[in-house]
This record gives sequence, C-alpha cells and structure tokens, in this order.
Amino acid sequence: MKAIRIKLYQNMVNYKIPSSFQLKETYPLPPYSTVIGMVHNLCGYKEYQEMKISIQGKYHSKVNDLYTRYEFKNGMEFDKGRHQLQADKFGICRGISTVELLTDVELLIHIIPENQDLIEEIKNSLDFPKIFPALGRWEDLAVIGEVKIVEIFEEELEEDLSLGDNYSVYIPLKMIKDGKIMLLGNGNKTSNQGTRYKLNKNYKKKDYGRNRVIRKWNKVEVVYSSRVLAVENEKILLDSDKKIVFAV
Amino acid sequence: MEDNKIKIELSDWLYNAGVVGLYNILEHNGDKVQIKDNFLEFEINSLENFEEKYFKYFIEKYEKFTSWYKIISFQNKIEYWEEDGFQNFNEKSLEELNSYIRDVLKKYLKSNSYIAAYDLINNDFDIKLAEKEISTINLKKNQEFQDILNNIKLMIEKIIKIINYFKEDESKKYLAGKNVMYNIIKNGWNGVCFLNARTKEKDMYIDYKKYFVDSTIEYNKVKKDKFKYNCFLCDREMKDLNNDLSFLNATGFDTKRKSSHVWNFTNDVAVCPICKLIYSCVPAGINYVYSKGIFINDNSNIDSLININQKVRDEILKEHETNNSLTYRAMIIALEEEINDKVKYELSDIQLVRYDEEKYRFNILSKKLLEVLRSSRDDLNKLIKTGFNEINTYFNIYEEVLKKIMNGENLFLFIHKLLSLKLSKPVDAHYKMSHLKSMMYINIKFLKGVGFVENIEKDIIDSANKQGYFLRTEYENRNSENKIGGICYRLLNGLKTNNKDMFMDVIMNCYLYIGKTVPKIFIEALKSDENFKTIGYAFVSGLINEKDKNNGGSK
Repeated sequence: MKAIRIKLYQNMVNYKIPSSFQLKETYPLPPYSTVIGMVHNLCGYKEYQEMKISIQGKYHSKVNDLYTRYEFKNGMEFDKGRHQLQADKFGICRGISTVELLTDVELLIHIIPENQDLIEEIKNSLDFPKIFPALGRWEDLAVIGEVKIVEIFEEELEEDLSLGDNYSVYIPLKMIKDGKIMLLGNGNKTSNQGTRYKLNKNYKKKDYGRNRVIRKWNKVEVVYSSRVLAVENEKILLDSDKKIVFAV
Repeated sequence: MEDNKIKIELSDWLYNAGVVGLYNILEHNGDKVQIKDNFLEFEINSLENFEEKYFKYFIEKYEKFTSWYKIISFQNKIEYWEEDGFQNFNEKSLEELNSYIRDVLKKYLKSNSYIAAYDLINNDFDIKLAEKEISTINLKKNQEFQDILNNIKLMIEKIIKIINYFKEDESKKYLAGKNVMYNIIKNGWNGVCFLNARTKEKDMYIDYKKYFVDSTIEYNKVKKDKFKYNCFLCDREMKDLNNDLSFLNATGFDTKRKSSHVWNFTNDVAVCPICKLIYSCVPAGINYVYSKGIFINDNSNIDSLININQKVRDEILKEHETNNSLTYRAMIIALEEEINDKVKYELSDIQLVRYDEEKYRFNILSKKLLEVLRSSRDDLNKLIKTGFNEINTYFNIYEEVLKKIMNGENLFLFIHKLLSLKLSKPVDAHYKMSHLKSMMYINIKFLKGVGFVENIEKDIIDSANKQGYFLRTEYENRNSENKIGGICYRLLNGLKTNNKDMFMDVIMNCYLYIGKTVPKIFIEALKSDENFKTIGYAFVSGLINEKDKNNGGSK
C-alpha cells in the first residue's frame, strides 16, 4: 500500500473547533476533515475520495489575535438600525472577535487514498498546486516542504518505537484499545494520557426536507498526545522511513 | 448507553466548565459520581430534585456574598448589644443600627427580586408590613440617650422578627436563591428559564426543573431510534434542532438572524437536553467573585480539571473573606499547588479563561510563563497591597502586573507609567520605589523567560538604582532638588522613545553639574535595548524622591 507523505509548515494558523463561534478556538493539530478538504481542493475533486489520514506535528505556542467578524443571514435586507454595512440591498453586521492561533506549526501528514491509482495524481497536485495551498482558514497558507510517495506496510516491531522531534499526534482510540500504542502516562496514573477529541472526518449530506440540508459527519475518536510508544512485538503500520502511521 | 446512567465526556472549555459545575453540584450533595479518564458517569436518579441541589450549591458556596447574608448576619451585633443589656450601646452603635436599617433592610426588602420571592414563601408573617414598621431612630437635640433606648429596643425586636423570618429554611431557599440567581448564575447564562424576564413560572425551582431537568429525564427515557438529528457536541440522537446555544453568555449566536456562522446558512448547531443541562451548570464550574470569573481549562483529564478549579474556588472564597478580591492571586496559589503536587506533570499550554465585564477573555499559559510566575513569587507578593488611582478608579498593581505578564507584555511601559505618576501626581500613587524595583526584577525574569535577554543580571538594577539615589543626594547637597523632577521627565522621555542619545545627554549634563564621573553602569546600558530600559528605569526610580512626605506620596 502506498501513501503520500507531506511535510508542511505554517506560520500562524487556526484549526477551528466547530463549537466555538465567538472566540474561534483551535485544535492543536488540524482535524482529518481539514486535511481531506485541502487535498480535495488542490486536486479539484468534487466528490469525496475515500482516504485514510495520519496527522502528527508540533507547534511552538499559541496566541490570540483579533479579527473582523462579519455576520449576516442569507438574503436579509439592509436595516439601518441593525446593520453596519450595506451590500446592495442586503445588510451585514460587522464587529470584532478573537481567534486563537498556533504559531510555527510543523506537520507530517500521510495520505492513503483507497483508490491507489490516485497516488500519482495527488502527489502531482501537491507538487504543482493550482492555487495556493491553505490548511485551516482560507488565509492560513501552508508551505509544503516535502512530498514523497512512501510504501506503507505492517511490521512486527523488534523494539519499542516512539515519535521524534517533540511531535504530537492524533492516535485513533482503537489503536490504544488494541494495545498497539501505549501512552506514557505520568507515573503510574493511567489517566494522564492526553486529550481526547472527537474529530470530524468526512460527511454525507442529508436532506431533512424543507430546504434543510445538513452535513452528517463521520466522527473519529482520537487521543492527542506527545508521549507515544509503539510497543515491541506488535504489528504496526510504518512507512518506508520507519515513521509510525496513525491512519484512520 | 445504559438507561440508568449518564456518561459525559469532556469537550471544549465552556462545556468542561459545565461538567465541572455538574460534578461540583452533585458532589456537594453527596451523590455518587464516577470519574474515569475523560468522562464522568452518574446515576440518572441523581437528577431527582436536581433543582434543589443546583440552588443549594450556589447558596452554600456563595452564601457570604449574598444580601440575604448581610441581613441575617446583623444578629450577631444585636446579640452583642443585648448581652449586657445595652450598657455599651453608644452613638456609634446607633449609627451602625441606622445604617443597617437604611442601607440594608430598607434597601433590600423592597427590591423587586425579594418582593417576587415573598409570594413563594409559605409563611404567615407579613414581611411587607414589617418593613414599613421599621425606621431609623435619631437622637433629638434635647434628648438623652436613655430616652430613646426603649425605642431602640422595640425596633430591635422588630428587626429580630424580620431576621427570624429570613432564617427560615424556606425563606433562605427563595431569598438567597434569588440572590445567587442574579449575582452568580446570571454570569454564565441568561435569557431563558428563570432568567427570562417574561417567564410564566414564578418559582425558579420549578422553572429550572421544567426547563432543564425534566427534559433531560424525559430524553433519557424515550427510544431514540427514530430521531433524525444528532447533538452538535456529544453526537447523541435528537428529535429536533430547537436547543441552540444562544442562552449562554458570549458564546452562541442568533441562529435565526446570523446564519452565516454555519455551513450553507443551515443551522445545525443544536444540542441535546443532556448537554443543555450541563451548560446550565457552567456557573458552578467557573469561579466567580462578583462579576469576575476564572476557569482553568486543564483538560488532560477530568480529575485534574476538577481539582485545580476547586482549588481556585476555595482560594477565591478564602481570599475574599479577608476583603481582598484578587482573583489572580487565588489562581496563582492554586496553580502552584497543582505544580507542586505533580512535579512530573507537564502543566503547560493550559487555557485560562477569565470572565470580566460580560466578556470571556483567554490567556494561554505556557510552561515558560508558569516558571516566570513561580520564580517571581516573592516579588509578586510584595505588590499585593499596592495600587494607584486613575480617573476615579483604583487599580491594583499586582493584578495589573499579572494581567500584563500573562498577555505576554513586558512591564516597561507600565513601570514608565508608574514612575510618571509618582512624579506628577504622588497623591494617587500608593506604592514605593522599592515596589517598582520588584517589578523590574519580575520583568527581567519575564524577558529571560520569553527568550529576549540572556545576560541581564539582577544586580544591574540594584547598582543603577543606587546611582540614581547618589545623584539625588548630590543634588540635595547643592540645594537643587527642584531640578530633579525636570531631569526625571527628560530621562523618562528618552527611555520611552528608546532614544539613548537623549538619555545620555541628560545624564552627562547631570554629572557635569555635580562634577563627578559618569558611573560605569551606563556603558552597560548602551549594549542593548533591554539593558537600556532596565538600567534607565532603575536609575530613574532611584532618582525620584522617596522621603518626600509633604506631597502625600508614598504610603
């Protein structure tokens, strides 16, 4: 099985937590849906291509920044008492709000398309992107460092393997439950393991009638942690450079 | 999911605050709550009478902040007077009694929230009438104290009746309940249920039960196979999308009028009744002092999340009894304990949420900042009782310094401001130059912490400070201390604009005047901007007079 591995860097970025509307909070690493979205956008796919993703990386620190917030309703007419901006006959509210930003993000992402014929195409679109690559918000430019096709195989580990470079990772809960991945807790307390998230991966549109189409998300339970250990004698997914792949 | 248990997982910070709140409420009432890793679990039975538990928690935790407590606590005073048959009752006591009647009883008993609560209390005592019967007692010109003593005793009897009425269980339940409703709960959410101004149900307990609790219990009972929607937060199945988040302060958005927040303008931000119940517990999770609040979102696991916030709460309430509303201090103490508890534990990158002026503000504490705070503890503590007035407002320096550090700002600008204030309006400056020195020490640690400077040492502050002082004495010996103010202004201007030439010009001038060599320390100052500012401010703070009490400066 082949995968495309990308290394990318971002200066200031927000991977929005869906439930944060006023202050836009960020995940510590981009969620699967964000990465999938970037790939689809760069390749120009209009339909979802089934793919597995593994995300690891690190950031330097977090800062808060102000941004201009525009709020409106589709087709709502301008009302001088309520709206600050007039766009033709429509009205928009403008104000400020805060956004949480990660600084100096470094990511290592594996993309494993189910249809392996797409490998070259995806690599090509990442090497020569048609538009500027962005991950997170539209303005969060991604500087793609390395794009490499790697072979992915299951290997029985001869010795314990851990993450390098101070990286953190989203570990699918299943890998932990199967005992393939251990989290180095603090002392013997098993609870100090990391932060659990339910991340969006992909969605299907669902029509509820009366013009109501909602995205129904396929969510993945993961643990975000930096203290990761792949246990010896367990079969685990690795790429050709012996990087652990946490594909989901 | 089992039907007789509810399992709740952690999520974003506000939800976590709700989870902590729910835990606090249940735990306070002795219900069993199980904590595992990232979720807590409790029996659905715990929700019986949850409305009582909900209010009980707030009333008991925040009792001393309520106006209800102000009213009943006067009993101690009365007992003290009665003990020796009013022998020690003097004019001062009379004034105390009068101000109690005027500023407490008369004021609160007639307040709308109390009047609304009286109807709910099942008691024959006519409190409205009792309120009318009390009035202040004044000593008239030709009257002796003994003449009015009987009046006073009669009045006190009436007051005792009112206090007794207030002390009844049911009165406390509703009156103190109203207090916490408007003082505490309102900080978390607003506009629905009993905080909806047009609510039909007058009894807030029943209102809460109907709005939050019953729907949860009901939801837990029904089969959810046919539900089409999913909860935005916990993914549980839901019947409709009617529960939005706009009742939470500064969180949700108007789903009807501002749909640009959601994908394709179709609102899918709706929560299940369980999540809504949890959100209603947010005020029990965030720690409030009046309208300020603090919550530490240490969400690596539920245990530490609950622990650290309980510590903050205890510290805040304790601090407050000594009449000191330093919310940050409580947080620092709690954080320190937490760090000491788990040395191995990486307590970093935790989100600190402040609620202030009806807005949430966020800080993220990095490990380095925590270290700075920890190692500056002694210097910080020196600042606790210092402050300054500006435009009729009192600012506490301790709080301001912490705010700045946690925002990642250095203190130069603040030090500058305090120095200028000391020069221009010493009456408003309730601090000494030594406090500014402490701030400079903190600032150095901060600059080092964020990686700005490597080689600044503490002693440059001391020696620059001393040089300032020496220069001052020289000026005083020549009876020219009037010139110092002007010199300081010019030096400060140089410092603020980072203008080393201007600064050094003034320095040279001064040393020419006193006929001495310029101290070596100023060479150090020319090495970097940080050195320049540190040394410069330390020098100026030595130069500004400390002893000048005529101006009412240092306290």
